[in-house]
Amino acid sequence: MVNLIALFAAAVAVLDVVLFFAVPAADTALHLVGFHPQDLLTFAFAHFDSYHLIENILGLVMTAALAIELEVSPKTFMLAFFAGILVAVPMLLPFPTATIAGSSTAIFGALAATLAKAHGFIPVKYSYLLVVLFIVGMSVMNSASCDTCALGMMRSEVFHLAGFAAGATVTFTYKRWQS
Amino acid sequence: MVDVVMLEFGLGGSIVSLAMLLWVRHRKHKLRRSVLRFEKIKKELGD
Repeated sequence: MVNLIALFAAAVAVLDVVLFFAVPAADTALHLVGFHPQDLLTFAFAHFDSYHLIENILGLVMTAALAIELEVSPKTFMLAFFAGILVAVPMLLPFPTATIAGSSTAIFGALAATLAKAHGFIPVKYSYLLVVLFIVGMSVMNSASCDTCALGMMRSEVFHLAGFAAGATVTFTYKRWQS
Repeated sequence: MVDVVMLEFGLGGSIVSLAMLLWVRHRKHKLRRSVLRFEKIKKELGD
């Protein structure tokens, strides 16, 4: 039987690749200046360059593989993924001139749902702390290595933390609602 | 100049996920081996 999480990850990857080659990212990315409602549906699948695309697809594949190994419910995985996408929209309000594209907030959301199921192998307090430390560490490292783009890098890490928090909130709320 | 925020999971994120995947697989394998050993001992004691 085909695993739903694998199918979902494959569908997202195909959508990412098709959108990357078919439409310029500037037309599908989300920006408040010159806002188009359809961008709300496309920005998470838009990518600015091939590295951006490859890294997000690789991240999604790894997270999906971990979720399959841990037998995470596909519904929880997808809910956390979409919560990660949605949370990026209000996060854009403090940066009205910024343009966002990419699904990393959604992948961090899905990772939060996955790690919640990993408690038998890695306690949630450690795995969540590891991911948060990793995001903060990346932000510090990027800021140290890049003078002009430090602020932009730190901003994207704030989006990542928000995506991870949204995924965790949706997962635990859904679990409590189910029981 | 366009103010771009790239939402990029990054290679580091993939490496962290892969490390966790390998850790979980390793723990599962150890757990499976322990269960098999337990079943064997149980069978021997039963016999």
